[in-house]
Amino acid sequence: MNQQYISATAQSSTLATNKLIRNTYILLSMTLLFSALTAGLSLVLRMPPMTYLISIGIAFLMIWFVLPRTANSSAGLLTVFAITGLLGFSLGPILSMYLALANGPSVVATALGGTGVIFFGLSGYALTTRKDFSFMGGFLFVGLLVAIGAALANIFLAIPALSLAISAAVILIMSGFILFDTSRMVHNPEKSNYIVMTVSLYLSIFNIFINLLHILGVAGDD
Amino acid sequence: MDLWMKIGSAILLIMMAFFVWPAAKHWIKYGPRGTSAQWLNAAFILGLVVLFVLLLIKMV
Repeated sequence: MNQQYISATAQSSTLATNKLIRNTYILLSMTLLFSALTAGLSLVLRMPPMTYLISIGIAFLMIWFVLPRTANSSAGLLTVFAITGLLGFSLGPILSMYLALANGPSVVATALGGTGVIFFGLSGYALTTRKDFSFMGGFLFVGLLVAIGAALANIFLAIPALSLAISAAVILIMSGFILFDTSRMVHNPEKSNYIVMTVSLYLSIFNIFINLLHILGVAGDD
Repeated sequence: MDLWMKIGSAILLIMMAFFVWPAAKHWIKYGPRGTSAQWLNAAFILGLVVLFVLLLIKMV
């Protein structure tokens, strides 16, 4: 009787994990497609550089103030599309700047492909090995705070080498967050919400792409 | 960078730090501690990411 109960509990936990992972990846792929559309729109409309800051600012205000209130309702889906659409739209001025470089299309394509390989590699690793990466939480959040502090200082210092170092650090921190978030879905499905997980994974992908673009743009600039 | 862009970016980054801070505090205080084997494994995976980025830099 007891064994049957344990087996049923384990089965229900596995079902919850599979449902959470499936919902998260379906929503993530849809939001990535949607943000690619809004990025294309922003590129075609030749939006000014200020678009980047304004779109990211509105998207983050939604992440901080709207997402926590809507994540458990159907309005959460609208919120997640609004956030990722805005983040995609913010990419227009950056992409047009890189595409204007001599080898710009190759740099953008390499950054896009590289981001895909990093995401699928890390997420696939965490899913297949089912290792728990929750121990990285403190390290990742502190690393993020340090990177934010360094980026804040570099707005006024404008040191190119520091800017590159911050980009490299952000790629590593976001890679760690992909492992951390994926393992949270596997080990803590009851405490995870697929809408919040989608936004979290999307932000990691977005940050890896932006910072990889920055590093490759500098490396490929003759 | 335009002065308004600098000011806007600085405000956004300060707000990010403000919102990340509670999560950082929570995970430092209550987050599980990793064993040296777990950290070594994570460092190895992140090392592979570094090597992959270096490969991409060579490619462009």
